[in-house]
Parts: sequence; structure tokens; C-alpha cells
Amino acid sequence: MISFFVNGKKVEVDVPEDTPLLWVIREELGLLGTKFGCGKALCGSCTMHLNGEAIRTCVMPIAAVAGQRITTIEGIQEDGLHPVQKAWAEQGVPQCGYCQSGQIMQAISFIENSDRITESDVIKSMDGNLCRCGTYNKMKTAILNAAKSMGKA
Amino acid sequence: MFISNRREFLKTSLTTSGSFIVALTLPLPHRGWKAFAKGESGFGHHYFEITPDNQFVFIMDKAEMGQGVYTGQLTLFGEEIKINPNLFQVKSAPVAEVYSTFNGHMITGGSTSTADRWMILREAGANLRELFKMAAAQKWSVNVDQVECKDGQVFAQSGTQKLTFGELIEDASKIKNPPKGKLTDPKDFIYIGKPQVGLDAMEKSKGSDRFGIDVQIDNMASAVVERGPSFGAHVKSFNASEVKALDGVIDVFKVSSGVAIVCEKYWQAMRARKSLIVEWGPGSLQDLDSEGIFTSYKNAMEKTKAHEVEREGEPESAFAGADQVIEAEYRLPYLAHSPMEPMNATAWVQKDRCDIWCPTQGPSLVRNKAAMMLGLPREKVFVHNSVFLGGGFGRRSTLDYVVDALEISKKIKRPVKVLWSREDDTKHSPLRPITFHKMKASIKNGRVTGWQHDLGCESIMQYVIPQWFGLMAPDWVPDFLLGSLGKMVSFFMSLSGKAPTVAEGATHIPYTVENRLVKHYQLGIKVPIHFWRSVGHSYNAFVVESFIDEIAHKLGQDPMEYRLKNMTHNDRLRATLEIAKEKSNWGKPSQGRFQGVASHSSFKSFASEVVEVEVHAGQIQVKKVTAVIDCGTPVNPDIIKKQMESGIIYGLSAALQGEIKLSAGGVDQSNFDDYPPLRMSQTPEIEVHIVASTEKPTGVGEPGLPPIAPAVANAVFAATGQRLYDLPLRLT
Repeated sequence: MISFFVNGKKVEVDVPEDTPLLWVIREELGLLGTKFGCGKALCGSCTMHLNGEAIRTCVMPIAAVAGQRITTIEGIQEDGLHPVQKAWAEQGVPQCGYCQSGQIMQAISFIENSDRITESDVIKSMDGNLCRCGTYNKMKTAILNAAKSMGKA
Repeated sequence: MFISNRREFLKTSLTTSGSFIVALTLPLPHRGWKAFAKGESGFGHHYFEITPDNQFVFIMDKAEMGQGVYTGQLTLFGEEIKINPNLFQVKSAPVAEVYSTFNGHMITGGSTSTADRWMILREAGANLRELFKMAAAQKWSVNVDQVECKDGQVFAQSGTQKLTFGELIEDASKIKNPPKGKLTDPKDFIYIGKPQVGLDAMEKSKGSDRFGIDVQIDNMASAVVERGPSFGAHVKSFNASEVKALDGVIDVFKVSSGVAIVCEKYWQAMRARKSLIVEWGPGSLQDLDSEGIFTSYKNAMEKTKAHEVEREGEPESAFAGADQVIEAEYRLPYLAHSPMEPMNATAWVQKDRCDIWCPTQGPSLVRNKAAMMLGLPREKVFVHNSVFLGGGFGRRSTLDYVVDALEISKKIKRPVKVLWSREDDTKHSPLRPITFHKMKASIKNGRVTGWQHDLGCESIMQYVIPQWFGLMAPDWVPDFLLGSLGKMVSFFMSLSGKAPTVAEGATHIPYTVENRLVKHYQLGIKVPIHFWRSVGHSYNAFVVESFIDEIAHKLGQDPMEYRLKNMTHNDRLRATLEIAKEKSNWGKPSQGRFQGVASHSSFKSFASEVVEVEVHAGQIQVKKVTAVIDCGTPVNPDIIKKQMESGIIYGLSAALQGEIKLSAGGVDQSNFDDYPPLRMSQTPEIEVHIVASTEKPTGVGEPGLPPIAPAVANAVFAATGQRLYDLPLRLT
């Protein structure tokens, strides 16, 4: 049994130690907002937060997060929308939408862990998250808008 | 907006039983409409429902894969029925004749969804609006032009009377000869032409949107399929007992595409797959590699007879009498679509029925394929097309991933979800065909008198028809005939040279050249190929627009002015080029940057793009794109802008770094490290200008793509003096 915290709640799972966190979250815990894209930490679709920091969960063995705090897109805001999600919807960023939960999780962790951000910070922080529809420019605007609303840009 | 999943759809259907709902059918492609009451024949296959509590339910027969089709369809319908598009619920349509768009089939593709429904959905909306106005007017004993409607409510102009559509259902359904509604004057549009973010933006920002990969069915198993190292490789043997003994493995067996491992969970199957050892028999295509294919096309052009796709004037005499002949050869690679959501399908095959949940651009193809494979009547196959597609780009009009799920579910007698890994898709995706081109232009007295385009490319249609023929054929054609008929049709197509899509963009070039010849060569290569965003235009635009640029330079003319001067029979394309020239500050690039231009018409739209590049240490950096599109009446400028950006970025991924290389009949690339889409840091500033137009809407999802690669190559020439003939673009 491995226990850890997901969106503030303690959970216990009985899976081999090397099972990727992504699949524990999706298949054992039934939280489907986080996506599978590449399985090699190359695209960022599977991004969640480990103690508030963005991580690629498709390669993160479950044993490595024992006792720690995981946040998924479902737990990012207790009720309503996170300012990043709000900025995202207002800009109409998503196209197919598949990579977007990973993008949003990456953006939230980046903004929350920065004091002030600039456009070049956005590009640097988001560059590991791929989007096949090419929503990058809208994303950039949404992130800067969100940062502004959070007093960070 | 609310996108219902299957369970909610069923629930809604049950709770409405006994209640009275109006349904609208649109017997496409015939324009018309009819209101059905529940219980009448025809009910159930419809586009629109109004519930007694005044909920508006739109039945969507199109696949939403990021192109904004939900928003587009509801904008057209909502405009005329005067209901805010945000107020509709959307449910997915079952597979039925009434929804067919392509020869009796439900297919989302070809940048057609908004264009094809432009009149149909608006007329339907207008007629329904008129019906409800009439119902209210009769009830209030006033003239119909004394009532108005908005958001599903009818108001009397003279007073405070008000009724909802829901309250008027019974009255409306009794009107025998409903009047024809008048279409709204474009100057009075309140939704069409207004930028509005996609109706699915909120859901997709919350992370509550659901895709095929998220489908959950009771008692569902999870499976992966190990495919061979090369196309056509077959399974000789595998260590079944060893893998079967692993934790969580339900079964391991051979399927037509390879070896399937079935577990309760995907993570178990992925784990077990690491222990699977398969001995593969040689693939039928193991002697093929990309370099060899280019050489074979080149040889074929010297030795074999071509099919003439286009002949105008007397090209031979033009070349014979030329002062100068300009020649060039172009090589373009195979490409995979690589949508972000890996291929997946969930199926439950039972003795007398089959249910399929899958992200697909062609639900009717899926249904008919399942019926044919399983020997079931088509009406016993249910395709629950109720999920978003995590990207399509053509990839999701194939059936390979569905076949996996059907074979496995049939064998294990349980519902199963099959999920491909990224590597599975990169290595086994049906591909955008590899192409080889020889271009020739004759120059006489400083102008182009002759144009010859020799095009080496396999035909996608001839490849897919043997597979699709049986699926497209009417139900009464006996099964035993279907396979052979398809092969026969394909064979006769190849004999007669019929290869639709192969030469699109190579024929009817927008420049006036009196003597033209376009020839097509095929080798009969059996590598799986398929429609890839913008299809034939994706390679022909690169060749034509690179070559015209080279000609302009060789004639000592500015490539922009040369194009404008010679684009004498395509006014709408020329107009986009004029705007691009102005908006991009043509001739005055920013410091350190160089400009390139390309112009191309596809899917009945017209697009011109000017790029600014910088070249540093042999690296091409695209800094800015000024794009202009004329797609007729702009239905939603925000979505048009997004689709242009999307097409440009998809095209840039291919132009700068997209290559699927074949070695020994197999694909070299495997994941995003060696087949990478563009990143944010590589994404240029993109400025989109939409031509104001009152013409009928035309394609938007694809036309932004074709001009981008040649525009970049032309800018690279301006920057370096190096003319690049091959994609992806690499400086030497």
C-alpha cells in the first residue's frame, strides 16, 4: 500500500511501486482530467503538481510521491475557476482541448511560484508543453492576463 | 453549453418519455424540414428538440476536433431561430442516413462543415422561428408580424404577453402548412460574423471535457497491441505463456495487426508489454526506404508513361522554342498526423449487437466496418460518438484503431478499451504520402510560356477505396462481392489514372501560363497513406509557390510584384495577396529579417501569407506571419483566426522539422523527441486578416496550411541565397 494526498485528501493504492502516477490517478482514482500524450515526459499533457510544483506524471513512479501532496486539474480550485482557467476561457484558448489541462497546470505552477513574470518567462516556462493544434499565441495572452489579475505582471 | 455523454443522453431520453417534443429533421443533402411529434416515424433522427420546459437540444452529427464546428453549427442555427448559441445543449447524433454528408456517410473533413450547412441550418432555424411565431400569433389572435421572438420566447409587440417555445409545442405541432421563414438580412446578424470564443472553451478550461481515452464502461478491460517493426510484418511466434503468467494479464493473443495483451488496467498492459517478445516474419515492404522511393519516382519519370492530369495549349512547342528552361526537383517526406490524443477505441461486441465508443471523424464508416467484420446487420451496431476528439487532422477517419478494439472484444467477450502508445501511432499511422516533383518552365522574351509539373505520388483514394468500398456500398450489396468490387474499382482507377486529391493545387495554378502540362506517376507502393490536413495542397502548394518564386528571381523581378502581375484570372486570391503586401510592409522587413511570400487557394478559400525569418548559424527562425484569408462570409472571426494560426503552426511543424523516414519498410521516428511539433518558443507572431465578404462561407480548417512552407522557403532564399527544394527545410 502506498499512501499520498490527492487534492487535499489522503488516498491509499495497492499497485507496484513503479506504476506511473498518471495511471494511478486516472485508473485507480478515476480522475480523468489529466491526459496521456507521450509516456516519456516529452509533451506535458500529464502535468500535475507535486507539493505545488509542476511535474510530468507519466514517468513519475508512484513510490516517489508517497506521503506527498498531489494536485490535479480537478483540485486546482475548490469552487469556481482559478484565475488561469478564467483567463483561458475568456481568451477561448482551447481548440481540441486535449493538452490543455496539462498546459493550465504548468501555467498555474509557474505563475504561483514567480514574483513577477514577463513574456519571455512565459515562453521559457511553457516550452516543454506541446500543443498540436497550435494554441500557443492565445495561451501566451491568457497567461499574461491571468498573471496580471493575480498581481504578478 | 453542455456536452452530454452517453449516460446522460440515455437518461434524458428516458425522462422525456411520455412528454411531447418537437424534432426537426433535415433530410440532407435535400433542403427541407419537418416537425415530428414523438412516436411518429422519423422521430429520433433529428437535429433539434425543444423540451416542454424550454430546453434547446441540438443534435450534433459533426465531430468536434478543435476546429470549432459545434460553435459554427450553433451560430448558423441560433442566428435564425434567434436563440443565443450559448443556450443550447448539444447531444451527439447516432449514425443515420439523415445526417449523411459525403455520399451517404457521416464524415467530418475537407473543411466543409460550416460551408455545407450555411443555408440548410439557417433555413431550418428561420422556418422554426416562423412556426413558433405563428403558433403564438394564433393563440393571441394577432397577425404574425405583430410578434417577435428571442431566445426561445415569443413576445407580442403590443403588450406584455409572452410564451416560451416549450409552452407552444402543442400548438406549433398542429400547424399543418407552416410558413417559410425569411432569412435574416446580413446587416442584422447578431451572432454570425461576430467574434465569439468557442462554446466549448469553458469546459475545456476546467478540464471537465471528455475524450475517447476517458470512456468508462462497466466491466471494461484494457488492451494494447504490439505491432511489427515494418509495414506488413507478420507474427511468427511470441512468448504467450510467459506474458500470460504476469500479474493482471487476462489474455495474450494474435490479432490481425499484431499481438494483443489484455489486462484490467492500461498500466498493467503497458507493464506486461515490456515482457512480450515477438518473432516477426519479414514485412512485405521491407525493401522500401524513403531515399529509394525518391529515386524510383525519378527513374519512373524518365522511363514510364504518366497520366496527364492537365494539358493546356501546346507545352511541347513552348519548351522547344524557349530561350531558357528553368528546372527544379523537389522531395517531400512522409508525415504522420500525430494528434495529441493517442489512438483509442472502446468496443463491446456481443452476439447480437455491438457498441463502439470512439473518437472518429467517420462514425458511419466505423459502424459499417463493424457490421462487416462481425457479420451483424448495420442497425445492430451502435456508434456512440459522444466525445471530443483530441485532434483529428485526417487521422481519425481511419479505422485501424477501431478494428483492434472489435477483434479483441469479440475474443474476450467483454467491453475493452484499446489504447495506442505515442510510439504505436508514430510508427504505424497511415501517412501523408511521400512525393517527388520535377518542375520545368520555359522562358521566352522574358516571360513564362510553358509550365510542366511531373508529380510522383501514390493515390490516397486508390489506397483507401478497397478498404472503404464495402463500407460505402449500400446494404443490399452481398458481402462476398464487397472486397473484390473495391479492389476492382481501385484497379480501374489506377488504369485510367483517376487519382482525385493527388494533383490538387498542381492543376489550375493561379498564374496565367498559356501552355501547361501536369503529369502524375505512381509506383504502386503499399505503404499505408491517408488524408493529412490539406491533403494534396500540402505538397503541391510548396512546389508551385517555391518554383514561381524561383522564376521571379531568375527573371529579375520582385516575387510579390511578379505574382500580382501574373495572377490574372483569380481575383479573390489576388486580393488576399494585395492585402498581405500592404499589411506585411512588403519590401520593408524589420531589421535583420527577410521576407517570403506564398499564395494558395484550397477548399474554395483563398489565402496569402508573408513571413519574416531570421537565420542564425544555419538555424531558420520564423518571426512573423502576416496571413490573409478570404473564406466568404466570416461566420466566427475568432475561430477563423484560431484555425489560421493552427494551420500555420501545423504547417510550420512540418516545414521546419516534420519528417517520417522509412527504412527497411519501417518508420524511423517514434515519439515527440524525433517527430516534434512546434513549441511556443518557435511560434511566430501571427497576424490574421479576414477579407470582408458576403459570399457563401468556404473552408477554414485547412487553407491556412499550404502557403506557409513555401513562404518560409522563399524567405530563407531572400536571407541566404540558398534555394531549398526539400522538406523539412534544412540549410547546408
